[in-house]
Amino acid sequence: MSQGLPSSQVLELRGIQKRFGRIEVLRGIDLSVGAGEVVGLVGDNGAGKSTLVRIISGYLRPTSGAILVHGEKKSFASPRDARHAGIETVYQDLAIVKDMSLWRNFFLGNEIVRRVFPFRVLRRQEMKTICQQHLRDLGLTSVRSVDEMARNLSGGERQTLAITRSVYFQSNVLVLDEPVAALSVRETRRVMDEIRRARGEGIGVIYIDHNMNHVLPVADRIAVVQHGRIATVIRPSETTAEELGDLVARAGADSDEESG
Amino acid sequence: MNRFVVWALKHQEIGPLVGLVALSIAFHLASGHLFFTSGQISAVAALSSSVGIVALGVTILMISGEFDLSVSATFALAPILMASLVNQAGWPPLAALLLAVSAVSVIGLTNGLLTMFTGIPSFIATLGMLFAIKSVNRMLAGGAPVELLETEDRIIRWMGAELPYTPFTAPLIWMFGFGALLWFVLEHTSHGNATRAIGDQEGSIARAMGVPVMQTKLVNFVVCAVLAGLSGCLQLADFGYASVDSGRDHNLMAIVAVVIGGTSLLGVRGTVLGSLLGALLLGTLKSGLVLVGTRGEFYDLLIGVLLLMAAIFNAWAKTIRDRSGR
Repeated sequence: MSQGLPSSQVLELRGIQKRFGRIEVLRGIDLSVGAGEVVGLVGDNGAGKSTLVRIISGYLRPTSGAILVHGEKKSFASPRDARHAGIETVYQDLAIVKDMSLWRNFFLGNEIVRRVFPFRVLRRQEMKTICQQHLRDLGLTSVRSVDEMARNLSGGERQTLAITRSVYFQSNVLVLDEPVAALSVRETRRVMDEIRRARGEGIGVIYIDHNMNHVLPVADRIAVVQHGRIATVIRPSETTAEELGDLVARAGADSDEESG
Repeated sequence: MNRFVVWALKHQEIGPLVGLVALSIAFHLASGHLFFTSGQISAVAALSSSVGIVALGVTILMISGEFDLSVSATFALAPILMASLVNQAGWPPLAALLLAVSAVSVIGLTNGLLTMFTGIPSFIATLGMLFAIKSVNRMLAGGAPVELLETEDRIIRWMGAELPYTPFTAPLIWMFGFGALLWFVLEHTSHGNATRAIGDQEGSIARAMGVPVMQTKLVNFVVCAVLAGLSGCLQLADFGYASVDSGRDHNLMAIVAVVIGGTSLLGVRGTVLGSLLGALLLGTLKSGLVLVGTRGEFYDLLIGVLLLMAAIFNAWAKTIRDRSGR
């Protein structure tokens, strides 16, 4: 699947394997994500989705296999390296520091600074203005000031802000790990709109969710992970939420049998 | 919610400030108008600056989610080293100071590395370090105080001299100077941003955002140890001697000052100003109690009560904030 891809592929995984001791969690994952494409990643618990996400975002090193960003081979020793390569990951509840202001959160780890030895002094006004602009674009009208603590935002607003942040930083790839779990319908819609906006900006998105009703409307392709491999890749138009759910459940049952 | 409550919760320095003013006035009245005199103010300043400078380092470390219990031993080690080098090896005071500070910075670095690479809590790592350095201090100084023989040196006067036309000595100015620098770092630099962020959820959000968690924590461990050592050296310059018992309770007192100042034991939240006010409050309490002639035992009792009140208030404030956030 990943052989001979055109350079518009922002992310390519080639034969990613991961072992923890004698346990082989990933058995050669091949997956590609194009610019402006949303790839849904589904699979039952234990299929290897989380391990794959952790490898893409730099938390884990694969035992073997290659990660290519814009056709260039990359090796990540830390999430910082992954972020430098333009891979942003938004986790369910690991996106925003609640007791920090909105603008500080927006630029966390990527602050605009000027060097005054030995310090990296924040360009506060510049960052506040940019953050303000993005909040306005998002329609977060409840926010009075970018100096407000992030805890004043709702869960959906926090996720939306995290996604907007990756658009601003012109990421290549956005990895969303169950970003709408525990969100209301209205909030989920807000996040989905933001994902589409990111796609419109040419960002490649990997979207992980247990709820097939969330994956189907937003994904361009859906990869089903089954005991450490991509079992199949389907287009949303070719399936329904129910069929997809059955596929994942069957895959889970198979892997239970196999491991049992 | 009442707007005043919201405002007060945002500015938790208000608590220690009100306490400081109220306590000072109470002591002034109870002592027959003797508190606001140069002798008393001088005593408060000396007591507060010694704990205050240590508390500054503890603040930045606690905001990043870690503790340092070894600061009291570091506080004694640096001046013992400095005085020994000046007295016995004939080093110029500035060189001795630099070496002493370098030595304690290695201790801070070790604390950080121990915490990060072994996975044990900093509370335990630095407790072990506390006992180890105490022992070193005793080996270096023995039981008797180490007197600084060179007192006329320019550096020594810069560090500890009385300030003309005021009841204060130089360490108070140093405390505010270091405080201003640390405030600047916390509020205006990317290191400050990283420091707060790594205090949340054991740094997992910060790590996901590519913040250099380990580097930031290590820097803060070193800053904490260096400030404790500097505070000890400033006291040496002020008093003219150091001993193994110098700053014996400073580790706990610094935590008390920091908690009274509104810094969260769970990291992220905290201000430099709050900690300085907390230290001033402790100094006022100690010297005020002596002034009004209460028994020494009351001091510890009141410190305990004050700490509990502050911690309970902080916990309550957190609940209110959690509830008001949607």
